[in-house]
Amino acid sequence: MNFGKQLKEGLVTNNPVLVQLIGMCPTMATSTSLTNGIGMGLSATAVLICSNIVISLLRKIIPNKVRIAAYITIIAGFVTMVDLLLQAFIPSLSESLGLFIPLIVVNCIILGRAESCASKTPVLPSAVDGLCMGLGFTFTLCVLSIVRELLGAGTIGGGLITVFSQPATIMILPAGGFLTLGCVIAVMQKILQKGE
Amino acid sequence: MATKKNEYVQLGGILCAITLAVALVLGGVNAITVDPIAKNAALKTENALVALIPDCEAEQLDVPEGTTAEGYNATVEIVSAYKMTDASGNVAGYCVEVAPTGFGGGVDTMVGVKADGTISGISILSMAETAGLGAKASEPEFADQFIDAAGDGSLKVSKDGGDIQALTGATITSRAVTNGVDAAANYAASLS
Repeated sequence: MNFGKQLKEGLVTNNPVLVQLIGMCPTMATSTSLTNGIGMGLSATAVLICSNIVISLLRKIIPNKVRIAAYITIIAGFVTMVDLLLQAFIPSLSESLGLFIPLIVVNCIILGRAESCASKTPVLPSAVDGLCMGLGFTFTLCVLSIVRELLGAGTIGGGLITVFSQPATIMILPAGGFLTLGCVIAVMQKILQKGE
Repeated sequence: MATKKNEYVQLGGILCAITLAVALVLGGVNAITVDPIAKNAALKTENALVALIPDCEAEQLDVPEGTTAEGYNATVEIVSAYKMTDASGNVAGYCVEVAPTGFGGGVDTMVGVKADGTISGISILSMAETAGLGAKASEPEFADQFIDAAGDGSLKVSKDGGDIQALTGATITSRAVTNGVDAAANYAASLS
């Protein structure tokens, strides 16, 4: 087990959003401001680590035929937990992320990692995998949301600093999300090719 | 045949056990969070009431579920209403919580209506409008247009022939909020 290698995979070479191209819906929807991006990324990371641990623990008990149902139940449980905790203790974030917290249930990064990693890997590496993939997701959301927020709303850090007052609103709409994503993927591919 | 039956029982049993365990844990988490969540919601309402009609005692009025009021272009659901009484016992106005339908679902808005029928202001409690467009409805630039506006049915967005400047790119949200305020004014008028 090699933490550095797994971290590199999660952040760069096997980045869930930029390389595997999964988890697109929450990526588009929540990368409109940095606070939203970080909040979404960390919430998903927390769910991912917990679900990876539990699914890895139960990997020998869960029968193959009902595994998807079992995974979704476990994931939904953790998501509801995160949702309730956010509502209770960080209400402002819960409000701005709104519906997208419950929708972490169907975030394919989480089910994807349960299928391809946690269901056949011991507990500790699964947890590390969850952490690395989650950080990769968070990192990507941060990059996208910084660009989109700066160009689309003219602010940095969730309205903390106003840079200019005539922003290109399209950047915080879905179209801007796709534009930004395309550019970031292109940059990513360039970096990956250089690395080879 | 017998083994097959056993397999189904086993599959169902395991799934059932997992579901039960998850439900138990969630029950525990809910028990911890139910109070803070209720407190947050109450605090938010309270802050809105104080900001809209200050220095008053708020008395929640009984609003039956499904109560609606007519706005200028749609019927709006009334969520709750408060009677605001000042220190000398006079009714200073009403705060009406309306939920007009915006672009992303209900826009939960508290509207302050003074005793003379003018709007004292609005406060958006919760909404799911598009960030950067409709979500700007809670910012002063838009929301402050309602301060001291006459609640006599003349409240409309400029596109519909009124004085409220709609948010750029968010006509649906602007119209929903304006319509909600109009409905709240009508409802408050029916109270006094």
